[in-house]
Amino acid sequence: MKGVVFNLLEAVIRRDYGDDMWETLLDAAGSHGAYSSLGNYPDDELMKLVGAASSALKMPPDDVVRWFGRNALPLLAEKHPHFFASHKSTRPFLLTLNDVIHAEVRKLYPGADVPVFTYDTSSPEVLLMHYRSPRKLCALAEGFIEATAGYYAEEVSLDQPECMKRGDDRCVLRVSVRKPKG
Amino acid sequence: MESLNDADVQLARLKKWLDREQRARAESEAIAEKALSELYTKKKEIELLQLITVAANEASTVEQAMRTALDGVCAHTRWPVGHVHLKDSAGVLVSTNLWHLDTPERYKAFQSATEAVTFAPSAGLPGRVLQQRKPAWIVDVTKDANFPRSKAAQDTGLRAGFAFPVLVGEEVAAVMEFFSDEPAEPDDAVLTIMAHVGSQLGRVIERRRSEDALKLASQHKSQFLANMSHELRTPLNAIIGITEMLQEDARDANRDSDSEPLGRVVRAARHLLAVINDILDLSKIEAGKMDLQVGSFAIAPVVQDVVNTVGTLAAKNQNVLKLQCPPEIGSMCADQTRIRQALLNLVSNAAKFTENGTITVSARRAFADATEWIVISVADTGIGLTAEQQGRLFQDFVQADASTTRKYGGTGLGLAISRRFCQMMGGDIAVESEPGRGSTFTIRLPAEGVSPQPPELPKAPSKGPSKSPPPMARTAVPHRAPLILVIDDDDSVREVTTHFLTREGFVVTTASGGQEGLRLARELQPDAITLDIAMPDLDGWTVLAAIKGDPATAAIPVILMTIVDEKNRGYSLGAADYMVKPVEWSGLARVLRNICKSAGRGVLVVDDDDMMRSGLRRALHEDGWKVSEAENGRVALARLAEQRPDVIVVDLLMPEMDGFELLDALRSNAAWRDIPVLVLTAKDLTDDDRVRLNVGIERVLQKRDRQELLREVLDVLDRCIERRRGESVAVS
Repeated sequence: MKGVVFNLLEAVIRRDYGDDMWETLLDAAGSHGAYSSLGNYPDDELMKLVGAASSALKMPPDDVVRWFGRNALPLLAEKHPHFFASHKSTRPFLLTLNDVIHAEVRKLYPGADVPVFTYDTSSPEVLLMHYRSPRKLCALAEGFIEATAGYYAEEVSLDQPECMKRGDDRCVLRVSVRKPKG
Repeated sequence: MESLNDADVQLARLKKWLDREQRARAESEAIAEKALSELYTKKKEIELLQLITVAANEASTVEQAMRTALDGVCAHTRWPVGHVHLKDSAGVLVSTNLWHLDTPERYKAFQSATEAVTFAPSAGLPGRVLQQRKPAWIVDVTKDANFPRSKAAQDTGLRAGFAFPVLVGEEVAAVMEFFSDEPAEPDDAVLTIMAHVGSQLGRVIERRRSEDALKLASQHKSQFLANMSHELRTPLNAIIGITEMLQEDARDANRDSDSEPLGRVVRAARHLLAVINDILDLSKIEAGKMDLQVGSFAIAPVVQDVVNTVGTLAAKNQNVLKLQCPPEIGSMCADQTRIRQALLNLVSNAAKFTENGTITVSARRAFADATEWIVISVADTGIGLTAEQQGRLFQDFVQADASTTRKYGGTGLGLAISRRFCQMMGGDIAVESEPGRGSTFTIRLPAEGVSPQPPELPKAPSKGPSKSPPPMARTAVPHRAPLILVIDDDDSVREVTTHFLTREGFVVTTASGGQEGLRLARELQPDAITLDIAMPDLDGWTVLAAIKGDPATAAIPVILMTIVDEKNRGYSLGAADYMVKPVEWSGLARVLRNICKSAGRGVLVVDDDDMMRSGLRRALHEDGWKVSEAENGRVALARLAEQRPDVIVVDLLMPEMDGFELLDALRSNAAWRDIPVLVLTAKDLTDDDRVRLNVGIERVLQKRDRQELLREVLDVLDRCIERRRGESVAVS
């Protein structure tokens, strides 16, 4: 896992739960806590921090991950506004993940192991995103998607008819977005 | 105490945080440095590959590309020694003289040890690469079991080595090896890049091999064409020559019923010859063997000449031929013969495809793309061309359509060839046309010409004053009919050439082989020699070299008359001119007359007008005359006393002693009485004048247009010399 993800986690924990909480989590996870955004660190280290947060915040691990995604995305949007500015709504943005966003991520962070989504766009209202990764971070994707909809001021409903965590061989993220009334 | 404790905790936490941040920063810097260093290595690798690729594409020889690669790889690895082994036909690697040695003296022993041995597959480092067809690395050659040169390496301090194959497909064509002063562990990045270098160099060898194969094929083709052209033209030559003789005899005997079919044979044979010439021209252009004879020449006479040539053809279809080419158009630099050929093609096409119409040939200068152009257009009011026909027009072997060939004849090659010629001279031919309305073909050529390749040798070095003085025997006897020695092994050529040259007023002797020819040349000291190239006993090149190499014959002008079109070779051996068989008789006669005339015929120009004198001097000099001048009759008499000219050109109105008085003086002197005189005058002659001039005057010319006058003077003088020659032939 790229160090930048650890940096983002640190930023949102410190902001919402204070500096002490991050120290607590590092201690609980047994981590040295020195993360360079360019470096690579074991996936396991991230999962340990998530586990520590889950205990400390009394939240299920997936909820921690989803919360992290939801809060990290605005920071990313702030840092790389041009990825977002070229679209006006959530769906077209999500459709560029593989070819544009993750391609750029690979340039910024060589060696980044980003997931490849496949899409089912047969319905104009409902977008199906297929996710398959040994990291099983579908909850992070959910959080990112929810925050993206927030960025474009849209309402989103999101569920997973299939999920690797429930024994399926892939996750299917069902995304439907609409402009708020009024 | 509580708050102090809090502060300590706070401090400890901050310290921990700071440590963490420092560690993250150090890690970031390490990552960045590593990335930079990798980037640098990549950049160096790309530079090396680029160097090799450029060398592979641009090097003119394989050796040059390999030398660049040796130096490039040594610079990249900072290794001091690099060497190339080439695989020989037996499949063994043989050392070459291609080395990179940082300090040649130091590695001398290793170099000698390497060059002293060959490497069979699997033997030593190069042999290993030859066998495995992939790069190999030795950490320390002095400790390697399979390194025959380890002693030399030890002595010169070489330790690590690597080598890689230069692959042509799957075949190892060469092996490059490199050595360093220190033992070194294998570097995969270096080996990867070396594999690329090897395959790039392999492509150079591959390209070179296919070029060699192509060159050989092209040489075979050219040789075949040369042979074929010889085989085809030799019989045609005999057919045309002998038929022309028969036709002449028939005409002389008023046997029209014989003359007419013979005329058809000649026309058909000449047409066949034209077709063969076209095909040979085109193949020569294709093979890049067409040489241009680029020189400066006046445009108007060339255009005029072409129009005159096509006149008859144009008249046959009731066409009016108009020419718009003022003499002020001046000169251009190009191959005159090829321009004439292209223009002749366009004008005769126009005449062919137009009936009851007008053909306009116009020439002008134009300025475009920072270049001065000569634009010659041929516009007709003939059948015209559709857009589609225009598209196919310049393709080889294609006429507007197949039925055209049947109706109008021709090979369909003329335009394609003409266009290629123009393109070789930096220009082009374009066409504009409308069916039923007519066509306009336009030749555009740079006025200053282009030099596609430096001309191998200046044209006709033996024309004009030759370095060795002409033998006295020939110049001392003026007005003798010039003697021509014809050297040719072909009976019919000798017979026909003798026939025509005799008719043109020359005395002809023949030799049937090179040996005999050389002997006759020395004995007879002819005024000129015509020489065949392909002869069984001694070929023409050898004969020419022998003539030019012998001081007794070196000054005799030699005209090569042959089927082999190798003008430059002929000129470089000292030929005065070069004619491709079958020879145009009038052309040969003209060339011979020029050559013989230039053997020092004298003309005295008497005129008080400086401009006129210098104009005449220049024109006459160019035409081969030796010119002396006098500004009035008195001076002229002095000149006459010094040297007797062959012809005198005289003005009538001059100060001191005028033309009439000079003529009287000439007539009263027996030694001068016979000298032909040409009178030039601006005076309107009275009857009285005419009576005074009536005796012994060749011709009286009125001074009007200067250019025209000069041309007339030359004509009259030529004719007057020719007539004398005829007289001497008659008495001899």
